[in-house]
Amino acid sequence: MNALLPLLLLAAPLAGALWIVAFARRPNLREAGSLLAAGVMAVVAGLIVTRVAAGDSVEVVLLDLVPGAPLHLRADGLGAFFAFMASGLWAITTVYSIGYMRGAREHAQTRYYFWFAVCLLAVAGLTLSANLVTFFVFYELLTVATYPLVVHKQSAEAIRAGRKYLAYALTAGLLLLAAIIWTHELAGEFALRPGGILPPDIPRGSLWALFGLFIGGVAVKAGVMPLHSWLPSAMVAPTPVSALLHAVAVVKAGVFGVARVVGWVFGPTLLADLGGAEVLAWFAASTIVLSSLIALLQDNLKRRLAFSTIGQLSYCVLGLALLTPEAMAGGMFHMLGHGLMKITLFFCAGAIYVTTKKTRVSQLDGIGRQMPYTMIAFGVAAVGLAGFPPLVGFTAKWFLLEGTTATGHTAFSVALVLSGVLNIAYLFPIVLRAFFRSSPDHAERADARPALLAPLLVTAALTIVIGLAPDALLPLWSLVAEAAAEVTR
Amino acid sequence: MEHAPVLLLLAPLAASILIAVLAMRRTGVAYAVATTATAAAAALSWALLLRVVEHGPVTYLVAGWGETGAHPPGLDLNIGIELVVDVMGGFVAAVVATMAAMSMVWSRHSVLEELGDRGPTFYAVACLALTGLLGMCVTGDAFNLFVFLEVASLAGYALVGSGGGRSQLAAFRYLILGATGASLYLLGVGYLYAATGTLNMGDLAGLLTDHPLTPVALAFIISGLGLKMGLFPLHAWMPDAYTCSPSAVAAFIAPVFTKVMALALMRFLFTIFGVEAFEGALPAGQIIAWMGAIAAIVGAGVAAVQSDLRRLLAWSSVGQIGYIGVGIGIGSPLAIAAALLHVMNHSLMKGALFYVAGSSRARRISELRGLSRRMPVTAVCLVIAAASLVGVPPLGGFFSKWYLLQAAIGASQPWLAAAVIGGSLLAIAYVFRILEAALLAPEKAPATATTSSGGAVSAPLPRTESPPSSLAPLVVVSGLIIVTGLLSHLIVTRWLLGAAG
Repeated sequence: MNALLPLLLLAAPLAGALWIVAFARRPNLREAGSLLAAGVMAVVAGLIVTRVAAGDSVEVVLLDLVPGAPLHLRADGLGAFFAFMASGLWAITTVYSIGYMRGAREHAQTRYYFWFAVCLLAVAGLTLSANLVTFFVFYELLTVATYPLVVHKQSAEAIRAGRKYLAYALTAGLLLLAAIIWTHELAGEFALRPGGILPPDIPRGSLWALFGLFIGGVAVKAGVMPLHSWLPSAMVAPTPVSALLHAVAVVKAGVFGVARVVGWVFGPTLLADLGGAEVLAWFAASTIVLSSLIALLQDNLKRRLAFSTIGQLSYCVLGLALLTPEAMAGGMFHMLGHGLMKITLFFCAGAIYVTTKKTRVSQLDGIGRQMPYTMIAFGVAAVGLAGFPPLVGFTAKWFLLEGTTATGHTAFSVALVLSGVLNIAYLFPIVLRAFFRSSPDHAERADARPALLAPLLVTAALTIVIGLAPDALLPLWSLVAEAAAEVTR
Repeated sequence: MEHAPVLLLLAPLAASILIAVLAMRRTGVAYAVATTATAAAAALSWALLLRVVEHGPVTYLVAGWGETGAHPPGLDLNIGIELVVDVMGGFVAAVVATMAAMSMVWSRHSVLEELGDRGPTFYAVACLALTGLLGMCVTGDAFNLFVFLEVASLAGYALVGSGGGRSQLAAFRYLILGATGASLYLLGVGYLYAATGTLNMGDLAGLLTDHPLTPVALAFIISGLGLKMGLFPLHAWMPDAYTCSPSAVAAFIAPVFTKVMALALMRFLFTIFGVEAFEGALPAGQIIAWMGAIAAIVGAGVAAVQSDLRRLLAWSSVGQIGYIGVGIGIGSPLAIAAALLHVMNHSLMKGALFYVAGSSRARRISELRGLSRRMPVTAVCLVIAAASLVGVPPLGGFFSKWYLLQAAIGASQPWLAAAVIGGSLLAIAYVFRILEAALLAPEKAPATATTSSGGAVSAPLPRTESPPSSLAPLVVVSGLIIVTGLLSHLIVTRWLLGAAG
C-alpha cells in the first residue's frame, strides 16, 4: 500500500486531466471529474501525511531516466506537507474555478481545467522526488504546464506575460540542469539526503558557482528579487490561476526547491561554512522590504497581492537561509500559512471582479456593504498576513524573528518588523475603506455567488483554525519541524 | 539476411532506376515505388542494427571480392570493397532510412503542388540520394565513401535546384561549396593512401599512429566533411538550400544529409584516426568541439532574428549540428553516445518541423498564426517538436542535451557546457516566436460569438487539417520524439555507449 500511494498521488490528477479532455463537451461531467480527481488526490495526500508522520516508508522506484537516476518517488516530511497543501487547496480552488469560469463566461474552459490538472500532476511529482533528476523533470513540466494558463486570455498582454514567464523559467531551468549535472560530477550521485550530499573537500570557487547556479534555477519561481518580475505580469491570468498557482503551487515549488538545495543538496553545515546562505538571506530580506514598498504603490488589486506574495515568499526563503532548525521550520510552515492567506485574498479579488467587474483598489470604497462576507474574509486574511496571533501568519513570524535574533542579524529583524507594518499599510486600508466609506455603486447587498463565496470562507476559517492548532487536522507542523530538525542534525 | 548490407543499398538504387525507366510520366507510380523502396530499406536497416547490437559488426565483401584476393607481400590487406555495419553506422543508417521513408510518404501533396510534372524526377533522384547516404553509413572503404558521398551530393544539388528560380541559385552555391568539400575530402584520402597503401578503413586504423602525413590527411578530411556537415563556419550553403528548395526537398534533405556527413566524420575520427585525432600533432577533437560550440551560439542567435520560417529552421540546424560537433569533439564514449543520440533526435525534430512548415504552407512565421485553430493536430505536433528542441523533459531533445552536458562537465570542459547552455537559451528565443505565432489568432480576427456553455469564442476558422499522407508521418515522428525520449536511457546504455568501440 505504501508503495502505491505515491503512484496514486500522480495518477489522480493524470486521470483527471484525461477525463477533462474526454468530457470536453459535457461541462458538468467535466467539472465533476476535476472535483473528483482533486478530492482523491487530497485524500491520498492526507494518507501519505499520516503514514510519514507514523514513520512508515512511502516510496516507489520506477524506470531509469538516465544512468544513475531512476524516477524515484519518496514522501518525506516536507514533501508530504507540500503535497497535502497543494492537493487540498486544489480541491477548494476547483470549486472556486467553476464559479469563476462560469460567472465570467470565460472561453476555452476545457483547456483551462486540463492544464490545471497537469500542473497538479507536476507538483505531486516534484514534492515526492527523491533525487534531483526526478525533481527536474517535474519542475520543468510545471513550467510548461502553467504557460497555457498564463496566456489563457490570448490577448497581447497575456502572450507578453507568458513570454516573460517562459523566458525566466526556462532559463532558470537550464541553470538548474547544469547545476544538477555538475553536482553529480562532484558528489557521484543525484540523491536528495537530509544534510546534503556534497563532499566537504570541494574548492570554494566551485561551490559558490554551483550554489549560484542552483539558486538561479529555483529562485525564479520563488520570486526572489531581482528574478521576480514575471509574477506581477502573470496576474493577467484568470484569478483561480493566480490564486492556486501563483500563490500556492508554482511559487511554493520554487521555495520547496530552495529548501531542497539548502537542506538536501548542500546541507546547513556546508552552507554556513561557505557563507552562501548569508548572501541568500540578504537577497531575501531585501526582497521582503522592497516588494512591500512596491505593493503600496499598486492600484490594481491583483498586482498589489502579487507583490505581497513576492515579499511573503522571501519570508520562507529567509527562514531557510538562517539555517537554524526553528527558522527553517518556520519558513517551511509559512508555505502553508501564506498559501492559505493569499489564496483567500485572491479568491476575494476574483469574487469582486466577477460580481462587480472592479479590479482596482481605488474602486472598492464601500464594497463591504455589498459584499460583507467576502470583505470579512479579506480582512481575516489581511490580519493574518500582518502576523497577528492566533492566525497562521504568526507562527512563521515568531520563528523567523527568533531565528534572526538568535543568529544576531538585527537588520533582518528590522526588515521583518518593517514588513509587518507595510503589510498593514497596503492591506488594511482596503478593508477599512470597504466598510467605513460608502459609495452609490455598492449600496445594495449582493455578495458573491456561492461557488465563489464558500471557498474563500473556508480558507479564511482555516487561517484561524490552523493558526490556533497547527496539528489539528493532520500533523502538519510536526512534519516540518521534524524535517528541519533532520536537516540540521 | 546475409546479403542485407548490400540489399540495403540496392533497394533505393533499384527504385531510382525503375522510376527513371518506367514512371517518368506517372507521379503516382513513382510515389508508390519510392515509398515502398524506402520503407524496405528502413526495415532492413533496423534488422541490421538489431543484429549488430546483439552479435557485433557485420562485414560483407561486395561480390565476394577479396576473399582470396591478392595481397601485397607482407601485408594482409583487402583489395575488394568491404561493407562494414557496426553500431555507429548501423544506428545512423536506421535513423536516416526511417526519416527518408517518412519524408517520402509526406511528400505526396507537396510534390504535386510544387513540382507538378517533375514529380517522378524528384522521387528518382531522392532514391538515388538515399542510396548514397546509406552507402556512406555502411561502407568500409575510404574511397568507396567518396563515391557514395558524391552520389548523394550530386543528387542533393539536383534536388535543391529542382524548384526553379531562386532554388537554382541556391543549388549552384551548394554545388560549389559541396564540390569543394568533396575535393578536400578526396585529397585527404589521397594522403592516407600515400601514407599507408590501403583504402580499407579497418586496415587504415592501425597504420596511422605517428605517421608524418597523418595531420595533413586529418586536416583535409575534417575540412571537407565539416563543409558537407554544415559545421560553422563551413555552413554557408545551408540557409539558402533549405529555404529556397521545394518543401518536399527540404523535408527530405534536412533530417538526413548532414547527419550522415557527421557520421562520416565520426568514422574517421574514431575508427580510423583514433587517438591520433585527439592527442596527435593536430588536435582535431578540440577544433571540432570549439567549432561546434560557436555554431551552437551563432546558429541559434541568427535563427532568433529570422522572419522566414525555413531560414529560421536552417539556422537552427546550424546550431544543432554544432551540438553534434561538440559531442564528436569531446570524444569520450559518453560524448559520442550523446552525439549519436542527437543525430536521431535532431532528425526527428527537424523532420517534424519541416513537415509542419510544408503542410501549413507558411513561408513567414507570421503565416503560422491561427494554426491551432486551422490545423489542431499539426499544431500539437509543432508544440511537441518545439518543446523537444528547447529541451523539455521527457522529450528526446532533453536527453541529448543531458548527456552532452554530462560529457562536457565530465571531460572538464565547463566552457563547452556553457556554450551548450547558451545555445539552448537562444533556442528558446526562436522557438517562442514559432509557438506564439501558432497560438495567436490570425491578424484579421473574426467577430466573436458565444457558445452554449457560456464561454466566449471567436467564429471558428475553417479546419483545413492536412490529408492523411501528410499528417500520418508528422504524427508518427512526433510520437517517436516522445517515445525515444522515454527510451533514451535504454538506447544510450544498450546501444550507443559502446558504439565507437
